[in-house]
Amino acid sequence: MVRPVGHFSGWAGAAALSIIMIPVVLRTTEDMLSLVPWTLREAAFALGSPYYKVIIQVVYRGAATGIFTGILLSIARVAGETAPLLFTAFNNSFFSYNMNGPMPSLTVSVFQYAMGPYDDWHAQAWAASLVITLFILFITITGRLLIKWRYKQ
Amino acid sequence: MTNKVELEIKGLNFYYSGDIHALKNINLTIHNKSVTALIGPSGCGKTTLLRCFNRMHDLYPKHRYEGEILFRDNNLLANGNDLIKLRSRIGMVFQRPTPFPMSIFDNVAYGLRLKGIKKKSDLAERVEKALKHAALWDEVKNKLTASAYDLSGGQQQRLVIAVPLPSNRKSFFLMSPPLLSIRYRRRK
Repeated sequence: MVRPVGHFSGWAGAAALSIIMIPVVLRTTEDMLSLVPWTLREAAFALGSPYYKVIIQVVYRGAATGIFTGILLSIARVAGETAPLLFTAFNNSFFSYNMNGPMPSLTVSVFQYAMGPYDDWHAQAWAASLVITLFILFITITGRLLIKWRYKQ
Repeated sequence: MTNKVELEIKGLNFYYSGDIHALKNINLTIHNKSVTALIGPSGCGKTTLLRCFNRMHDLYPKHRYEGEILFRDNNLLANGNDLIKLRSRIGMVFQRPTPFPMSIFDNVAYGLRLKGIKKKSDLAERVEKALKHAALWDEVKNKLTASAYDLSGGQQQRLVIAVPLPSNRKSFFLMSPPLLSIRYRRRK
């Protein structure tokens, strides 16, 4: 996406990261779907449910928690990615909302600042890593809470 | 006094995939409004026979039927049958409780929604009726929105009996030996 467009962009970074997410999400989703017992599908078929309704209303629901967890895990995994961003979103020393231009990202900033010669850059790199860690922790906790809340209703 | 013939099996043979001959030349007549029990040792084909009635074997392409099952004079095993319609008329309860991953209410409403009943008051009324028929209403009336998995094994089994009840009240209703896990109570 960088070469045909001719410049680095936030979109290219996003696309690269989402491609990295695919195998993780695919794998967990497949596992979770195969964990839904056949008897459950048969029970739905026995009521006269058409194929697509069995899949959407019964199988996906049964596996929803697992699929959701898989997505969260892969987001957490991708949030720690640096290398693909170097080639796609590149970096930006300024805060930017422009998805068509180079985008700053925490991990690349950590990389650059930690490599830098100044002590306050090092301190900022540490701070950025802390932010990433907290962000992932936050995602995981919200995921857990959402699942719990869904099942309490 | 004998009731009208509801279901008639004529020369039924059934083969599992790989030509395993499971049912050999079954002939049986089942009367309307009667209780019929199939008894036999484990693995003798009771469930296999029951599953023929609502064509559950069709989910596995290599299973094969021969013969006829006449349900109100229609051959259930005819090729052009609409299986979805057929299964919504002939209910089935499985050996192990298989509630859907939804609330207790939604479990019972599932069959109704498949039939296109969407009005809330209608649903609520029919769900209540079905749960009463399955002798479960008093235990769950205060927690209809709880997950069906919160129920005990016996309660779950009564719940899955209630699921086909409201949509099939006038048609044939059959069970695979599920009552084992229920403390059986005679209805008044």
